[in-house]
Amino acid sequence: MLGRAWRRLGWCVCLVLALWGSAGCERSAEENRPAARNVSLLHYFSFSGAFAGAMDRLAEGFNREGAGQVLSALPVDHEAFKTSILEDLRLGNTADLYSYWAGARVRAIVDQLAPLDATLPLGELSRSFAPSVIQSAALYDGHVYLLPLTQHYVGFFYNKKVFAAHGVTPPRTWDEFLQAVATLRRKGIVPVALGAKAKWPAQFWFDYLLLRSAPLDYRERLVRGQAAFTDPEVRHVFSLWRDLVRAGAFNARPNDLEFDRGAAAMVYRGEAAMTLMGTWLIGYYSGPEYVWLEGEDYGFFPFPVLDPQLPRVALGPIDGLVMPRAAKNEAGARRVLRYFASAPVQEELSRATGALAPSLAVPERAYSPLKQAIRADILNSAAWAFNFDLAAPPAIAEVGLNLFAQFLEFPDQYAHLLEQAEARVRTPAAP
Amino acid sequence: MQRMFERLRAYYQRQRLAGKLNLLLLFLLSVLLANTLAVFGSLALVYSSNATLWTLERFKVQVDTIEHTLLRFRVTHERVDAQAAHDALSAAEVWLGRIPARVFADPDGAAGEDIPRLMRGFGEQLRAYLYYHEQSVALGSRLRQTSAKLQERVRLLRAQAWPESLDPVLARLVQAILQARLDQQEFVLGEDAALVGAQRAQLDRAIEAALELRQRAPRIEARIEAYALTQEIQGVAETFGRFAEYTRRKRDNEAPLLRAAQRVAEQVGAAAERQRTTIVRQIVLIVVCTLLASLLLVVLGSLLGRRFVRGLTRPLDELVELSGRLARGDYARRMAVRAPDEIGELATGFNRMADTLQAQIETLQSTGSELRTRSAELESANQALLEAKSATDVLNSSLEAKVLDRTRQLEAVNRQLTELTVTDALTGLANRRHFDTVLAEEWARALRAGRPLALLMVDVDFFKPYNDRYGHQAGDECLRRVAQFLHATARRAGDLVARYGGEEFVVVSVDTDLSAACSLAEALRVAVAGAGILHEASPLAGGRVTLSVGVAAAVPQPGEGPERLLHQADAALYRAKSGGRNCVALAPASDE
Repeated sequence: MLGRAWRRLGWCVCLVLALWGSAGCERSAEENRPAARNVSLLHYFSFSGAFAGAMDRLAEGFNREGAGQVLSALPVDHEAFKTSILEDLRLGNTADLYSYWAGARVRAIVDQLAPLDATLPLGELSRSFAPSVIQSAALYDGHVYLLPLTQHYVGFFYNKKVFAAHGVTPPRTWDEFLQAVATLRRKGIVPVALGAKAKWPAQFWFDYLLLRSAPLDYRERLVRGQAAFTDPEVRHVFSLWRDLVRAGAFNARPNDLEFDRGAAAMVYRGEAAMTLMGTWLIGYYSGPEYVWLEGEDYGFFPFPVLDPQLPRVALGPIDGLVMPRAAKNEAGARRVLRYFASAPVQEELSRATGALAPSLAVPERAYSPLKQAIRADILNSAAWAFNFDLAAPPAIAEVGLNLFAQFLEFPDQYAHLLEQAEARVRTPAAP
Repeated sequence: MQRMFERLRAYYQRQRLAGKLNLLLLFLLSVLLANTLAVFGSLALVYSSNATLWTLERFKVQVDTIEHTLLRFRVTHERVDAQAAHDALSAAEVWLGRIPARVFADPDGAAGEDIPRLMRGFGEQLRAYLYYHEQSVALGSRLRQTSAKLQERVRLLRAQAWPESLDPVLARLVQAILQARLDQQEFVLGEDAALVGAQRAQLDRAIEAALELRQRAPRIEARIEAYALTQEIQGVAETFGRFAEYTRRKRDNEAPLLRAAQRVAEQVGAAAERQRTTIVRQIVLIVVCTLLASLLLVVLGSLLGRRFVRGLTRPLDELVELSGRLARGDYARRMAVRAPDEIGELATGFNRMADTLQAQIETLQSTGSELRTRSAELESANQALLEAKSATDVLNSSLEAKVLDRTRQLEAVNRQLTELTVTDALTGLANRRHFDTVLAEEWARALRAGRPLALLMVDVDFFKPYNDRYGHQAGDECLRRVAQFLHATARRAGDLVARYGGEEFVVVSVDTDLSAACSLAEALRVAVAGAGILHEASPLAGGRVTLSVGVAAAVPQPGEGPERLLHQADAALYRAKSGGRNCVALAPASDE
C-alpha cells in the first residue's frame, strides 16, 4: 500500500518537473527567435493621386508574405537622388536597395554593385523579359546587375480638344509636324510646350531629331565620345531644332518652366497643344490636380519620321533596382528583388507610374487602350535607345544637358555652343 | 472457547493496526494532494503572469534599443543605426502583439495611456523622421555638388576677358556668392533659420549681378557664361531651400520623437510595475487558498477516519451489546453470520457461547473490560492526528518565507533594469558604468583567449581654460565634437569609446597590442588636432583643441584585474600631460 503511494508521489513530482522544464524551453526558444529584419530601399519614384501610396502598398504586400523581413521603402527627391546614391556608395553607408536608371549610370557604378545572377538567373529572366530589355538594361559585363521595374516611352502628349478645334491630326512625318506647328501658331496657340527647368526634358528633342536623321550606330558613337559634337550630323540636328525655335514652335523661356507644373499644365489648360515627354506624364495627368482621361482628353503619338530610310528607334528610360555590394541585409534585399520581379508587382508599378512593365508576364489586357497602342509601337520599333543622359557616361551627359539648356537660351549661337561642348567633352573635369 | 478469544484478540489487534496505518496514509495523501495542487496551481498562475512580465521587459528592452540607436544615429548618420532602429521597432511590435491588452489597462482608469496607440504613433514618427533625414542627407550631397559646380562656373566666368568697367559688378557677384556659401555652411553647422533667407538674398544679388554682366558683356561667349552662371545659382538656391526645409523638419521631429520613445518606455515601466504587483497578489492569494484547503482536508480526513474506524469496530460493538444483553439475561438474540471470516467464526462461536451462557459468564465479563481498554487506546490515536496537523502549519510558513524571498528577487531585478542605461547623455558615447562593465568583460575574454587588451585614456588639453573662455555650453559642444571624432576614428567593431568623466575619455580596444594601440592613439590625437576646433586659450596647435593620450596594453594574467591596466593608462596620461600635452605616452609593456 505504501509502495503505491510513493509511486504516485514520484509521478506527481515528475509531472511538475516536466511542466516547469517545458515552460523553460518555450521561453528560451522565444528569446532566441530572430526579430524581423529591416530591408531599406531608397527610390526616386513619385506617385500621385490614387497611386500616392503605391510603394507603401507594395511594401505592405511584401511584408505580409513575411519571411522575417520588413521592407521600408523611402522616396528621395528625384534630383538629389542622383548625387546622394553616389555619396552613399563612396562612404559605404548604403541602403540595401536603390532604384536606378539602367544604362550608363549603372555602368558607372557597376564596381560597387552586387551581381544579382544568383537571385535572378539569366535563364529565368529571359523567360519573363524581352531580350532587348535584358541586353540594354539588366546585363553589364555579362552579369545581371539591375532588375527592370518600369519602361517609359517618350513621345508627344497632346490636347485632343485643341487639336480637334484647329483641325490638326497627329502628324506622322516631319512635314506634317511642321504644318501642324504653323497652323497652331497662326491660331495663337503655343504648338509645343517645353519645360526644361530641370535640364533633362530638353534632351528628348535632341535625341529624337538625331535618331530620326542619323543611324543609331552614329548616336552610340557620339554618346561614347567616339564622335564629335561638331560633326555634320549633330549640326544638322541643331539647325532643325533652331528652325523650330525660330518658327515659334516652343513657348518663351523654356529654361524657367517646369515640365509638369509648367509645360504639362499648359497643355492641360489648352494654352499649348502638345509636349514631348515620357509616359510618366500619364500618372501625372491622372492625379488629383487634373483627373484628365487618357484617350478622351489627351492622346499620344510617336515622334514623326524624318528620314523614311532609317529604321524606327523608340526612346525612353528603363528604371530598375540595384543592390550595392555594401548592402547590410543582403538576404532580405534578394527576397525583395524576387518579389519585385513577379508579374503582379510589375503590373501594379506599371499602373502607378504610367510606364509599361518590362516583364512580359504582365498580360496585354492589363493595360489601357492607350498603353496598348504604346506597347504596339515599341514592339514595331527596330530598336530601343536610352535618352542622352542615361546613354552617355555621366561626364558627357552633364556636358550634353548644359549644351541643350544653353542652346534654348542662345539658339542662334549653336555652332559656338557645339564647339564649346566638344572642347569640354575632351577635358572631362569642366562642367 | 479459550482459542476463540485468542483469535479474536489477534484479529482485533490486526484491525487496529491496519486502521491506524490507513488513517495515517489517508491523511498524508490528502495533505500531499492539497499541496501538490496548490504548488501546481501557483506555478501555472505565477508562470503565466511572469511570462507576461517577461514579455513586457523584452518589449521595453526593444524600446530602449530604439532610443539608444536613435541617439547614436543622430551623431553617426550611419544607415546601420537607422536599420537597427527599424529592426528594434519591428521586434518591439512583435513583443507588443504578445502582451494581453488588459496588462495596459490602468486599474485606476485615470492616467493610463494606451501603449499600442502610443507605439503606433511612435512608429509613424520614426518613419517620418527617417524620411526627413534621407531627404536632408540627399539634398545635402546635391548641395555640395551644385556648390562645387557653381564655383567652377565662377572660375570660367572670371577667365573671360571683361572690360575694366565691369570689375565692380564681377566683384559684387563673387562676393555675394561667397557670402551665400558662408551662410549655407553656417546653417549646416548651427541650423539658424535666419541664415536661409540671408543666403537667398545674397544669391538674388548674385543673379542680379550675373544678369547685368550678361547684358553688358561685349562678347557672346561671356554672355553665355553669365547665363550658365545664373542657372547654376538658381540650382543652388533651390537645392538649398529644400535642404533647409527638410533639415528643419527633421530637427523639429527629433525632440518629439525622443520624447515619444521615453513616454513609451515610461508607460511600459509602469505596466511592468503593475504586473509585478499582480504577481505578488496572486502569490498571496495562492498561499491563503493552500492553507484553507489543507485545513479543510485535515478536518474532512479526521471525520472520515473516525467513520472508518467506527465501521471496523461495529461488529465488536454488536458483540458488546449482545454480551450486555446476555448479562442482563436476554438470551433470545444471536449474532448474524455475515461472512466465513474471523467475525463469522466469532459469531458462530458467540452463538454457541450463548447456548452455554451459564458456564461462560465470568469470561464474558473479562472480555467486556478488555474492550474498554482498547477504546482508551483509540483515544490516544486521535491525539496523534492532532499533532500531525501542527506539522502542516510549519510547512506552510516555510512556503510563505519563499514567497517573500521571490518578491525581494523581483524587486532586485527591477532595480537592475533601471540601472542598465549605458549612454552618456552629453556625448552619446558609452558612460562610465557601461565602460566598467565592458572593461571587465573584455578583460575576462582576453584572459581566456590569451590575447592582448589595450586601454587608451584621453584628456582634452586645457579644457578648464576653454570653459572659462567660451562658457560651459561651448564646453559641452566641444566635448560633443571631440566625442564625435573619437567615435568616428576608433570605429572598429570591438572598440568601445566611453566618456570617463569630465573631459576624460577612454577607449577599450580588444586584441590590440601596445604598438597597435599607440597607432590608434596617434590617429585619435591627429584627428582631433586636425579638426581645427578653435581654442584661443591654448598655446598648442595654433590655438586649436588638442588631446593628450595615455596608452596601456597587456595580456591579462590570472589573478589580476583590469584595474592595473587602468592605473597604467592613467600614469601614461599623466606622463603625456607633463610631457607637454598634445602627445601620446605609453605605459611600459610589462607582460610581454
